[in-house]
Amino acid sequence: MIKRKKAFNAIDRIHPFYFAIPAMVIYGIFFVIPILINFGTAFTDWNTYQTGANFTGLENFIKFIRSGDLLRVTRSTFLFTVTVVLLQNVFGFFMALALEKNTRLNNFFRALFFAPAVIAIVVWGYLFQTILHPRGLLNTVLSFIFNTDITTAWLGNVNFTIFIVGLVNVWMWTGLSMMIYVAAINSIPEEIIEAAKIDGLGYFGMIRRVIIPLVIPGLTINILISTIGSLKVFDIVMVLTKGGPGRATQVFNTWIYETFGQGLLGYASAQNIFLIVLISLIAFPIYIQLSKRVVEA
Amino acid sequence: MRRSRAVFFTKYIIISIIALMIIIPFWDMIINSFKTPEESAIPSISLPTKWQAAENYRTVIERGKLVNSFKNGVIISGFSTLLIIIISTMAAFVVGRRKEKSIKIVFFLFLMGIITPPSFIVMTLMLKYMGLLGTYPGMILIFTATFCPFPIFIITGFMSTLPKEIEEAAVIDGATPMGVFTRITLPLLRPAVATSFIWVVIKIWNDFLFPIYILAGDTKKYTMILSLFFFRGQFYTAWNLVFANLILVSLPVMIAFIFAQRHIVKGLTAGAVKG
Repeated sequence: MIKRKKAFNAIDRIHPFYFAIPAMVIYGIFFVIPILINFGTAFTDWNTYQTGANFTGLENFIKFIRSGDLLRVTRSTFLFTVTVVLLQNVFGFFMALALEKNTRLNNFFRALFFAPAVIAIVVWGYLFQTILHPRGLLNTVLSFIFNTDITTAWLGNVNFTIFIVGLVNVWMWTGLSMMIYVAAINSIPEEIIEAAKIDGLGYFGMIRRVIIPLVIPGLTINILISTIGSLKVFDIVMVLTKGGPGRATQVFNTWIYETFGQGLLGYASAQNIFLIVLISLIAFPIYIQLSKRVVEA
Repeated sequence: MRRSRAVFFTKYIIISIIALMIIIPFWDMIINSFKTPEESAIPSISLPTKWQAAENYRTVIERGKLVNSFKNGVIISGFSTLLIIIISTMAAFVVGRRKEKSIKIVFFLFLMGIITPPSFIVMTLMLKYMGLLGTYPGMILIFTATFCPFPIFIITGFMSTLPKEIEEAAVIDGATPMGVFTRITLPLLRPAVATSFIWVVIKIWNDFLFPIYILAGDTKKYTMILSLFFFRGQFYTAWNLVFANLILVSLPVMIAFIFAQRHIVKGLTAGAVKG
């Protein structure tokens, strides 16, 4: 007993608390404190046209609920999120299934599919602006395939453009989802696969009864990161549509940026707080479970 | 046997078709950057009838001020990454070893930073009051604060798997905590540091949201992504130049990806899995 206590103290002595202080100070001052201040400023009329700010209670929140802005932005953010989470996981999973073996050829294709994720979203945004233009590459190809003149303005439609923006995002990030599934499939113990084969499971039976149940951890991680990333989306929307046409594709972060640009800092703070609380409520329960598992492992 | 070969070929034909969906946009971007403004007005994947590569790239580098923004990017990503790695390994050195409740709370607070969206508005205004808005230190501090939680998480996880005995032995031999940290622990943390390094560099180099809030006021401090954004606003009809700019902005990462492809894929995937 005494011996154990001594060892414990020794560990404490070699790992003094002050080592954590630089990280705590920088993170505290430049990340945590702004969020705490934000919780205060959300309830004020703080703006760039006056000095000082007045407490206005829930006025900012009432304003964006009444004007319908919140509903509109929430709707397009959720449509984007659902498109991305669904397709990125389905495509990612099947591509992982096809490229699961570690051969040279498969490694080449995996790297190729992963490549878009390394380059800035802004770059792809501008490129896809030209591809999705009424006279762009996509319509040229479609016109050729269907043998008629197709001139759809993919980025100029109030109803479906948000899905198109989602698809560009899927195009870019499916490689990452795929790699996470590849890792998950490769971590299935060989004995289980062998046992299933002996039991006479065919290819599709194997996928349904063995692989899918065993890649659930990979699925959880994939869904979590694509959900959080989609709720926080900014770059791709800003570059492809700037939230337009009209405000049809405006998402939380472009909305906050627009309000900030108008100098309405208190109002923008209220929007930001809404996003912070929303993401926390959705992600924290799953996230805590996941991090516990990783830390214990 | 014959059937499985047919399956094999069908599979790779389908994969190759999907691969075209990745290759064509890359090709489109490269080939249009070599064209004249007239020919690139409607970008297509055909070869240019008149090549004007050198001229396009020279114009973009000069008018887009890309040399300067490349330098800014290197300074900002370089110092942010260095700072993040230093403070994260130091924090992990404590958090990955000690088991008290207070340490667990600190760790939890860092974890929250991985998913919580930052408060851009207050960050920007805070930097303004500190006189750091639109400066290198301001940008570096914001990047460091925002992107350190994830490396702390990965390195702490790795730290807790390292054996304690070596550290204890070093202390018995009279080493100070700093000596243990720099000479024993840090070299052992190398795999986790490498993963974090790749994740952080790519994240920061490609980031657009923070620079647009913090650096947008000062052209001289633009990162490459930000300069591209404003270049596009200015030259919205000259697609050949915009394309050349896209290529130049992605070039540093593309080169890195070609040479360190396996590490980058591994780093970013491990990053995602653990985050």
